[in-house]
Amino acid sequence: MAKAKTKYLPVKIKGRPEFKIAYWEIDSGKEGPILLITAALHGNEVHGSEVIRRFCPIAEKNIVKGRMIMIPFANPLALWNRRPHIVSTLAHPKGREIWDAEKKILRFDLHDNINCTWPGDPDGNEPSQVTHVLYNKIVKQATHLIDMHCWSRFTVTAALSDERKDIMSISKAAALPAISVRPGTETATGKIPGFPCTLGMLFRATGRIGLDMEFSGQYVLYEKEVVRGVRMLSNCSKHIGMFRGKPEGMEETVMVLESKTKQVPVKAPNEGLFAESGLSVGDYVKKGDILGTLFSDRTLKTKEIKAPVDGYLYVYGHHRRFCDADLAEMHPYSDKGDTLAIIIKSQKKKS
Amino acid sequence: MPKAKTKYLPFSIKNYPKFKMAYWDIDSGKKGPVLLITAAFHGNEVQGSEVMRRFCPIAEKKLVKGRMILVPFANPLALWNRRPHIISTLAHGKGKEIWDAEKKIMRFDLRDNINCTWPGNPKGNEAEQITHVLYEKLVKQATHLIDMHCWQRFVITAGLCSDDEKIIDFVRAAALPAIYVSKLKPEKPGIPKPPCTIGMLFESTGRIGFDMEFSGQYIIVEKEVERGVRMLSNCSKYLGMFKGKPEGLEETVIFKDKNAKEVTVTAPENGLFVENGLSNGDYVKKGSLLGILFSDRTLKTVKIKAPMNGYLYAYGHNRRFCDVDLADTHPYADKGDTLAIIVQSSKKK
Repeated sequence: MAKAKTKYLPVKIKGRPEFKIAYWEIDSGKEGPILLITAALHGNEVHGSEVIRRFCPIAEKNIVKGRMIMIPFANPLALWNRRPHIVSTLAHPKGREIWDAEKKILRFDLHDNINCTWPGDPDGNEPSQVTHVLYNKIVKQATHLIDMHCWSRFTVTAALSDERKDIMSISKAAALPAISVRPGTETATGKIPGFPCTLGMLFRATGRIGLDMEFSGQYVLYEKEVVRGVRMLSNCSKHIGMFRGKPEGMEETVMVLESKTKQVPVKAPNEGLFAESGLSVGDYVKKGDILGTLFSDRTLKTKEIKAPVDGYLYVYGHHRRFCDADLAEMHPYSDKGDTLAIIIKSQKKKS
Repeated sequence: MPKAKTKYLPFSIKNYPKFKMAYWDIDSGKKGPVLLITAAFHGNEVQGSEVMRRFCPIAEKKLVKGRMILVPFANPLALWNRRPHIISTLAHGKGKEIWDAEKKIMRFDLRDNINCTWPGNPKGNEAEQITHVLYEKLVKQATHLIDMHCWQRFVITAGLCSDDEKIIDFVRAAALPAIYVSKLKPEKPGIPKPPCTIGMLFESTGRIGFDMEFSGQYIIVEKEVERGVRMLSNCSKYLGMFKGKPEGLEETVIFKDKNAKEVTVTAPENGLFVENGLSNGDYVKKGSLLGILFSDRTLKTVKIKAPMNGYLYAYGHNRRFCDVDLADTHPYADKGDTLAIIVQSSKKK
């Protein structure tokens, strides 16, 4: 049985005390893929960290070829900040706002988002310095990547894929409830893309397999998500031949979101408190099923919100744009026109 | 069967557009208690609003004496703000900070907290103007009160009261999982000095009332709503407004008063606290696993165990401002952070 070695990557960031990123390395002793698994590049997205903790002993037992590098806390400065980015604050959780002269709007500075800064810059800001170290010491040697993120609990867990066959193939093997397919493919040019570049983009552009995925729920750890994540890692390891056996759960429903997919948003017909009716993201609903009730504070009248089509709940529950950074944006009180659910139209429930 | 009438209380608050507060009034036509039920004084605490929506048709069917006044959204300006107070912002979720010259510290201005402003002031700030109208138009006529709040999901649902036996009896009828005796019985009758909550106002004016806290803010949890509907039915029975006896009185109640022995479980080192599938109110035995702490510095796992037998009063890593700041709900603990509070009990009831 292969043994996981705990290793430490020293990181020196200008103006910060030196720290180390701890990671596990499991070497089968046989040639094969070098699978890099990362979590918590954003400090509020920690499902993947617990997934790696549980997966590590499974990998020790089951690895038959290649090497695994697992980084459960890839951005400690953001983790310790308990917010998305290293520079996030209560008032500016998404980072600094800057003037976009071209679009003539204020927008968030993507340089603060570590997953836009690959392959990093030793003279750049804090996240660029972290990615620079990770890139040179770890990322360069890997042949495959699974990068685990989390989005808000209102959206179903999904693999983020593109139309490239090998990427779609590993996305399917993950057996997650949804695959969101970006239009087109990122051509494997061998060249590192320009800014903003994610870790997944970097892998794909350099001809390697890179899978990004999002668990449902930030700032929390849901048992169901963790179990799903451990299966995903086992499945992907099987898919690339690092474990024996076949991926499990392939018979389960997978929503595939592509450009032609019909998404039906369900909007609030008036203001009110949206009480969900016990459904979860990923559930199948039939046209006319009750999604919840809207309790108007102005009239005290109740309106039932019904599914307008048959399909799967891709998004469910009232929330607003910045629900990943502000509690008020997760509040169930809805204004007229706010989105209460998004249904992926599907005629028939699969499996 | 009495019919709930929807009524509207008009408000003119300086510098705000006029608005109306909707409420239900159910009159049995027979003499008896006038029970006032309120929810959402704080805009992020809305479980009681849904409880009232479900309770109203039950009350219409079952009311045999007295009158009920149900105010599901008692502070619309804070509701529309989706934050605790009318003037809360993302950066100042708990309101303004002011200099406390006596204690020589910066502290939150309690006048921003509507439930510290009773009986209100027509010339005061926004919150005080609202409580003034509510006090004059609704609160004065009520004989009994149930005021529903929510605290963070990490703490168990509880009735809050003073050590007055009459009030404790009323709270017991609610059959909530916990009773927290949080204050002393008022020494002198009459309206207390600020900060005065609506519960304190009732008690000090010789009326029966209690405040309670559901577990979970910015959210509606089905289990909590069902618990709340039963609480209102139970309390109505206790007061003789419904027929029958309160239900669920045999269920465990954690009684937390000055004599209760509680132990705080803290993180022995920094790490991600992964709960072990328990919930607030669960009984744990000494040595049972509460969760694990996954160290980001060493990647080692530390088991966190219950140091004694008892009930989980609080569970899960959170920090002081978890009611207004998402980061304070994060499961990553620093050494010394609280992971659970256990109220001692040698035997599961």
